[in-house]
Amino acid sequence: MKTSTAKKLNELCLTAPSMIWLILWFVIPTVIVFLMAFKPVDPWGGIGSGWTLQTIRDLSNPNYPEIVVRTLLLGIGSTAISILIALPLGYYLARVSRKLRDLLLLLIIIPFWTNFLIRIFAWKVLLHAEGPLAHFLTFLGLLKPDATLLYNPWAVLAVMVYSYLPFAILPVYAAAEKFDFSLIDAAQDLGATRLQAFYRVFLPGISRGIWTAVIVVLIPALGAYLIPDLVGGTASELIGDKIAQRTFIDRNLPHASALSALLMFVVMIPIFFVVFFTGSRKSITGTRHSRGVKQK
Amino acid sequence: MAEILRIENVSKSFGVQKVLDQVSLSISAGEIFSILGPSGCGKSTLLRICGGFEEPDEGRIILDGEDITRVPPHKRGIHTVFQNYALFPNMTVWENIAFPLRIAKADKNHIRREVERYLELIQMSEHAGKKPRELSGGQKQRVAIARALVNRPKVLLLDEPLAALDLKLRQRMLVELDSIHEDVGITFVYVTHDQQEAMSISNHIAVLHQGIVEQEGTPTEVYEAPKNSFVAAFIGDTNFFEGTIRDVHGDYCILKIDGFPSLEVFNDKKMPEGERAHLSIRPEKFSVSLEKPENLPARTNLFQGRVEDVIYLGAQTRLWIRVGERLVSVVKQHASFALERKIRYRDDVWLTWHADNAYMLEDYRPSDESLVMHPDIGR
Repeated sequence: MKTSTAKKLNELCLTAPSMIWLILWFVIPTVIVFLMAFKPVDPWGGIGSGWTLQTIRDLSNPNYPEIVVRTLLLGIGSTAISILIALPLGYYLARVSRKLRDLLLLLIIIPFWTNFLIRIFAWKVLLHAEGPLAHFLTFLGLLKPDATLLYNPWAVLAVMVYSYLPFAILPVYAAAEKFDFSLIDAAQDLGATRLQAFYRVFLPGISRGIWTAVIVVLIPALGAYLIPDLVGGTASELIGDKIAQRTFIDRNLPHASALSALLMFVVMIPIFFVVFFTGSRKSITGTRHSRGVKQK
Repeated sequence: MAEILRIENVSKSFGVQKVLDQVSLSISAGEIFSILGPSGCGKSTLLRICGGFEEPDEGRIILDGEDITRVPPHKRGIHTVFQNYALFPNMTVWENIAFPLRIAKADKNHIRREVERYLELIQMSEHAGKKPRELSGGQKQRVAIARALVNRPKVLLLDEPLAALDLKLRQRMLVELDSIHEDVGITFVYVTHDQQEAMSISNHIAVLHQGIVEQEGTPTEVYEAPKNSFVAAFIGDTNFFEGTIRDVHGDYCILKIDGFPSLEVFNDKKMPEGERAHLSIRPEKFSVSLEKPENLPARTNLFQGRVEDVIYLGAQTRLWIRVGERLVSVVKQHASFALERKIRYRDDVWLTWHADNAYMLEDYRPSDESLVMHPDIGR
C-alpha cells in the first residue's frame, strides 16, 4: 500500500513538468479562446466586458456552411491524395538501397529549407496565366488561351498536397521501415499476389503510420489560410481565411474565437473517430473469433 | 515411391560467388527429405529457388512433372515455413491459419472446418483468438506450420524451423513435426545445419557443402558410409587414417599407417596393393577396456594406448587415446555404471576395432580435419 502510493507520487513528479507545460501553453490558451467567443466586441477592436451569445448567433452567417464544406472537402481531399502518394513511396523508400534512400529522403526534406511563402509564390509563378504550365497546356490544346490555372479550389488542392505531402511520407516511411518484409514473402508463398500481399499484409502492418499521417496532414490542411489566400482567390475561401480576416481586418476577436472553436470541433471529430475506430476494431475481431471457436 | 520434386542441375551465383553448382536432387512423394549443410553452404538459396523467390541461373525445378522454374511464388503448390515464422502480426492465430484459404477464396464453411482441424492438430485450439506476439516460440512455430499446411501444398519447405528454439523444445517439436507429417502425408523438405535433427527426422538426406551435393542417401548410409572426408567429419565425429594398401587377401587387406599400428580392414573399394587409402573410423566403433580382452572374433584389431583426455558426457564418455603418434577419438557408452572401474586420465588401455567397421573414403581433403573434434580445440 505504502509502496504503491510512493510509486504514484513518483509518477506524478515525473509527469509534472510535461503536465504543467501542457496546461500552461495548451489547455489555458484553448480555454481563453473558447471563453472569448462569448465576449462582446468593443468599438476599438478590443474585447468588451460582460458576456454575450451574439458571436455564436453570428456563426449562422449564410456564407459559412459553404465555407465549412469546402474546408472539409479540400482538407480530406488533400489528405487522401497525400496518403495515396505516400503509400507506394514509403514502401519504395523502405526497400531501396540505403544510399538511394538517404538521397530521396534528402530530396523530400530539402524544400523545407526554403521559406514556405516563397514556395507558394513559386507555385503562383508556375500556375500563372503566363506561366510555363499554362503555356504548355495551351500548346497541347488542353487549356483555352488566357484561362488561368490559379485562383480556384483545384489550385488550392494542388498546393496543399505539395505542402503537406512530406508530412504524410515521413510517418508512412517510418512505419514501413520497421515493417518486416519477410511477411510479404510469406504472403506470396501462401498464395497471395503482390497486390494482395500489399493490402492484406503491408497496409495493416503500417496502419499506425498511416493514421499518424492522416492526423498530421488533415489538421493543418483544415486550418490552412495562407495557401487559399495566395492561390485560391475569393471563390475558394476556407475557415482559416475567415479567422484571419476576423482577427486582422475586422478586429473582431470574439468572432475569430468562435470560428476557431468551430474548427477545433471539426478537427476533433476525426481524432475521436480514429481512437474509437481502432479501439472498436479490436473488439470486433475478438468477438468474431470467440464465436468461431464456440461453433466447433 | 513416385517423385514429387526434382531439382535439376541448378546453379546460382551472386556476383562472382557461386552459391549453387549443378545441384540435382530427387525428392519422393510423402517423404521427409533433409538438406543438411553448414551455414553458407547454399541451402537457403536452394530453398528460395524452390519457393520461387529466386531464379536459378541454370537448371530447372520440376514439381509433379511440371516445370515451375519461372512460376511466381503464389502460383506454386509449394509453401514455406520460414525460420522467423513470419506470422502476420495484425491477424490472430485463427486468421493466420485461414489466410491461405481466404486468398484461395475457399468456401466459408470449408475454411472454418479446415482451420479448426489444423488448430486441433497443432493443439492450439484454445489459443485461436490470440495475436502472434502473445505466443511462445514453440507455439508460433506450430502456427506457422499449420498455416503452411492448411491449403495442402504438394511440398512443404521448412527453413531451419527449429533454429530459434531451445534444446528441449527443439527435441519435442521434432517429434511433433514427425507426427504432423504422418497425419498429413505431405512431402517435407527440411533444411537444417543440425545433423542430429536431419538424422532423426528424415528418410533421405542430401549433404550440401559450398554449393555442391557431397552425398545423398538415407541417414544410415550417410553416417555409416560417408563418401568423402567432409561428410564423414560434418555428420557426427570421426578419425581419419591415411595408409598404403598391403597384403590383399579376399575382401580384406592390411592398411599400413605411418606412426600407427597396421590395421586389417575390409577392402570395400577393392583397392589394389600399393594404393594410398583414406579410412574414416567413427569414435564409437572402437571398444576400450582396462583389461586385455580375450577371445576376440577373427579380424579384430587390437592395440594399446594411453588416455590423454576424458570428457564425461553423461550417457557416454569421450576419450582421446594416444596410440603411436596418433590421438584417437573414442566414445564409450555407459552400459552399466556401478560394475566398471572408470577409465581415467593417464590409464593404459586396450583398444579393439573390427575390420568390418572400416569405411574407405572416395575423396579426402586435408581441410576437413578442422571439422573433427580435437581435445586442443578451445584451449
